[in-house]
Amino acid sequence: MKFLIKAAVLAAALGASTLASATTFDFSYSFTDGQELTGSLEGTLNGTTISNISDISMALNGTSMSGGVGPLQVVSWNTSKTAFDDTVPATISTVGAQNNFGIADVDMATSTSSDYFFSYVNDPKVGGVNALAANFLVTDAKGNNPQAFDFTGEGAWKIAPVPLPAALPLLLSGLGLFSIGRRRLAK
Amino acid sequence: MQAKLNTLRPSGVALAVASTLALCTTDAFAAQSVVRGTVGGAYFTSPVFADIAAASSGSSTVASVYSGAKVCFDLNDNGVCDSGEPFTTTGADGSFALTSKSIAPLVAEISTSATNNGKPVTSRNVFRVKQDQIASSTVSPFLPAAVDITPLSTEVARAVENDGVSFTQAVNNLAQRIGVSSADVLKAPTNVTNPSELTAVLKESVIDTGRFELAAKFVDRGDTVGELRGNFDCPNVASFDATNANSCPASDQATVGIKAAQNWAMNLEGIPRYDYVFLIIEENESLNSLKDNADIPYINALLDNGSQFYNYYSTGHPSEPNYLALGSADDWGQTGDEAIPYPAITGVRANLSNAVDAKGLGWRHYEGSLWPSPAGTMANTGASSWNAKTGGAFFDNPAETSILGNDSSTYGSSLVAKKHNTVVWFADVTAQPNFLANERSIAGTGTDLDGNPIPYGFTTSTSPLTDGNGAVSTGNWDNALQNYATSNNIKSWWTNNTQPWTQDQFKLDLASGDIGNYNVIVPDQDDDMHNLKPNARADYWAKNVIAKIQSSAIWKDPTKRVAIVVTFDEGESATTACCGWNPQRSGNAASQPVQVAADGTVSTVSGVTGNESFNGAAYSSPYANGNHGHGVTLFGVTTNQQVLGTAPHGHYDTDYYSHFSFVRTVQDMFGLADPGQPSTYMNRSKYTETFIQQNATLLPEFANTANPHFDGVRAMNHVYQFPAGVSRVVAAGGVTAPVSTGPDSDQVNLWATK
Repeated sequence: MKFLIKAAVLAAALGASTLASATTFDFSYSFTDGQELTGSLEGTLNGTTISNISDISMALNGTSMSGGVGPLQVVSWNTSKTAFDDTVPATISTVGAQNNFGIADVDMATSTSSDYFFSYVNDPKVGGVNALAANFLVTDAKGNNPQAFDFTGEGAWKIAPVPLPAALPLLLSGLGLFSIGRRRLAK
Repeated sequence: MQAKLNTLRPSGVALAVASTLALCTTDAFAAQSVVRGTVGGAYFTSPVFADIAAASSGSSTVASVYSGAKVCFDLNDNGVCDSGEPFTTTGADGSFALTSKSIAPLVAEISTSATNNGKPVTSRNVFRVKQDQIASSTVSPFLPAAVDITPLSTEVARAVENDGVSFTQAVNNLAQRIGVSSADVLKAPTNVTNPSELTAVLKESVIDTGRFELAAKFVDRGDTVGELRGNFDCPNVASFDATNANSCPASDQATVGIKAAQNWAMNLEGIPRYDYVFLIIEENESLNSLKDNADIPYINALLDNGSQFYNYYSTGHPSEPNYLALGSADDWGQTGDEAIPYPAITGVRANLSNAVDAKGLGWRHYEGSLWPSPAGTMANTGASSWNAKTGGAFFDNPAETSILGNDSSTYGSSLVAKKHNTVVWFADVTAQPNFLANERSIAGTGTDLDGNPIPYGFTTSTSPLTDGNGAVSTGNWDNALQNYATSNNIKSWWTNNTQPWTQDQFKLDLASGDIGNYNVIVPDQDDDMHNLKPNARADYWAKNVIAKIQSSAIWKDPTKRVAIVVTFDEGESATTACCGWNPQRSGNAASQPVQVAADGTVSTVSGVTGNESFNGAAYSSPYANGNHGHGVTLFGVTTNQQVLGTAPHGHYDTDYYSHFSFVRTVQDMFGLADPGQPSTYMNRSKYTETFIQQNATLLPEFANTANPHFDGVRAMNHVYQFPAGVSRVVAAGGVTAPVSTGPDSDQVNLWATK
């Protein structure tokens, strides 16, 4: 009986978490020149705001941003200080124009150099839209590091919970446990 | 986009996080960098020069952007976009964005495949941005610094590297010099919204663009330091001038990179760029009649406190050929005064006025005691033909008994001599739409610009004119002429008859800053020593005019470079000449001037016709009557850099120079010619020793010379050092120089600014 209750609670919790807010999000930013930044992260969605961000991965034009100084981390852009700020937890918005954050392999609030980064800032004090990404560990065919910029207009920003195919196994496994519990109870 | 760029730039971007700044400026490779901006400048449409007004037009300038320019982070700071350095190409709007793992200066390579204002770039150029400029605009190394790459950002970079000033000082100096805010001086002109600031930025952009185009040529051609610094014995001329030639040391044979070339472009042949030059032309005196003459103490003090040239030769006799020479480095075969029919010089002939216009600069010609004469009218029956030909500008004057001077004498005929004019002779100048606006009045009376009296203060016993009360009649006619103009409601031709005539427009122009870059000043014939010989009156006139210049804001501003030159049109009673002018040597008349085509072909100029002195008889080979020169006269220089700054003064130069040398020097000073291309120097100012040697068959007047150095033109840069044991040519009209054999006591460049 105890097992049955536990399994039911677990399944309910898993199912509820999957339906209310996703742990894993996929995101992408399509620059106006056609370049694309993609990635994923884990966080907590509340309305249009994602917090508790961790486990970030990114790629620019399909090339992974990896092998840098450290794991990717996010910091917020503080519009009051006109600076990146690591003293408050960063958030990411599902609405592109509301974003003010940066992701890099270093703490962008204190470091002056990274191996790769993505800045996404909307602040009139710095000219409005600033979406830019670069990967200094890679060299393209022209001998340049891949880099992309949007200043004059905003590209397409998308971030969404990882879709069902990823969450479904969790729900099914919860239901499976519940089912096993019921059978044991029946026996 | 522009609006966004502007919001990035407010001085508040001095927000530019101090810590970031520190990191960026102290360790070149400690920080990454993101930049975005515009490669911008000016698009200059040159004037069209023709000898009729209908075919002539003035210049115009618009703010522009460069599309297709290669922009890179110059990681090794060599001024070149090398392989492996992050780069991008500017878009159609001139914009770029670029990031680099390491902050570094920016370079914009503007090739002939790029466009300026949508039109093909005709001459390669390189613009630069100092790393400090990026740092000063950087808010975060993860966000773009707004940085425009312009001719002015390049000038700032050059100044930081060569003038011993910090980046901030260089920016502030440039801003002050051209009269714009420091916040706007480094913006691409397309981002400058204040109209007056835009005008100033555009003018400086045109000037700097031209200079830096030259720099790119220096690099692309492999020009040597010797050529660029004006060592006219490089390449070595010892093969044909063993006695006089200097060496051409290895350092002078080295080529230069773009950064050094850009500094040489601001110091062509060793002549620093100046912002304003005032040339005061006096009349008919040899140096030996002027030097230490107690009747002209002020001019002698100028020589002693400023700089003086001991072997400066006039090029002819009488006056007019010398004024032509000062205006164009040739007298065009004119051997007399006031050639009729006017204009004396037809066709399109190179001259300083048009050359200055062609580079986006300005010129003025100020004449003393001008007869009040509105444009487009016949002011006087006897001169109506001349007046009509000049559009109403009246450079001669009637005998007007109603005009009484300070000494009660009447305003005599030809007090103002039209022959004393470096400009009016050229049909292609008078046909320009700005001609009348640039010919203006000047007076030798009144206070300085601060309202202070300019005391007479001379105590010599030979003051030639008095007003009956023992005072010298300086500025004899100015008040009477002004009263006449006012009473008769005469308007000025230089305002196209829109403003009242002013007898001292020069003073008003100095006060407003509306002055030419190149200003020729000619007193009347009582004030220029022509009628009255060396005297305190003429000395005072020069003192009065120079006091006005020296009380002006442009003179007092150390960021501006201002030079005042006092010289004379001709010497006296001598027939010697040097430096590009030696007709009738060995029986040869002077040849027609030599020109060099774009493909390097050298030929004599055709179609030059002239008129015999006074009698008006035309002749087909004007130079057959050639002038012989008229000996040595005075040439003194004083600059505001000597007075306000650390420029050397009290030095002398005994090398040989002539009016042609001065014209060459002016071309260097204002960036009007290319030292690597002899053809770009006008008329006989291109006759360097090497050029004469290489084109001997076209220049027979120099055949069998005993002293090729004496015959050659050079910039007045004091680079040439007389070899030990070599004596100076004994100069007719000259004085004993401090050194007459071997090197001068030093080789200081008398135009030096520091």
